[in-house]
Amino acid sequence: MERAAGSIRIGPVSIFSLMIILCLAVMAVLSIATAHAALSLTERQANTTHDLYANETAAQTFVAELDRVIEPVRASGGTARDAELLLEYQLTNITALAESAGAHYGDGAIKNFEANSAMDGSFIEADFLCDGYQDLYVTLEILDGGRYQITSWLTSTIWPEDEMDETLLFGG
Amino acid sequence: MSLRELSFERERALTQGGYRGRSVWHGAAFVMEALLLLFFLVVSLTIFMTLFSNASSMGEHNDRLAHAITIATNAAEKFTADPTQAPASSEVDGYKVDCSVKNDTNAAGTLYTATITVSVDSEEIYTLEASSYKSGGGA
Repeated sequence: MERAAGSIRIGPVSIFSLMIILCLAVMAVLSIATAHAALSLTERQANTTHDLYANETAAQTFVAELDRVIEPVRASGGTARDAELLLEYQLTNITALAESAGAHYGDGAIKNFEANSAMDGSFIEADFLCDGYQDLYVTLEILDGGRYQITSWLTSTIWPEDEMDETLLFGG
Repeated sequence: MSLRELSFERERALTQGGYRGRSVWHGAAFVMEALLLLFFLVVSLTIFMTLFSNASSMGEHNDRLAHAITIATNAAEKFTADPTQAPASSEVDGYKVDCSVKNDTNAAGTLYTATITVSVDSEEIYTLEASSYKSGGGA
């Protein structure tokens, strides 16, 4: 029988609609996954920047305290050995103050902040580790006349092996 | 009426009757299926619109946060280069940058600490603290 002109069959319409819905579903899942991954990555960048500047704050406090400790030597025109003797005695306190500055950085949200220092003759090394992965290594040399020189200021990131296979597309 | 005419009439009646009956049945099925399809479409589109809307707002938030991080880092680097010249407030690409500086001075030098806040439309997006020590002559 010949079909009446202008009649609509629901079958093709249903199939067409289902295909559109399927395509929209795929696009919706892809867009939400991409947006989530991008946001996670940016939040990680925000945390990394935060930790980087926490280390900087701690290191600047360390240098400020060190400078304050050797100031009397500088004022009296003492030797490098005089400054070293003072620092050997005060280094633990200076490190503790720097660690406190790092741990109380910003809103004080950093739970895991470590500062360590050591002295070898006229050389001082200090290491600041924030959240177990963001590291700042600083070395200084004590000079005559109560002066000092920053010989290195190195930032590095510790990348644990067990996080190497993390998924970045879905935001890790 | 001849046998041939009778047969033709019977066939026509059957055909028309059958056609009429099938027509009523098809119409109900069509309306039912169309309504179900419409309902399914509306529900699916509502879900998809919610998902697309969430993805859009996440993308917008991501964009603003990434931009705010860059602006805050730039402001922090400018501050550490010269802590005494840091502007208290400025505007970069529509983002408001507030820089509050505190200093701790002793006989040896001054430790400057700045709290840099990036906000847009009074909404705080990112905050960064930067410190810079300026020695009075030790370094």
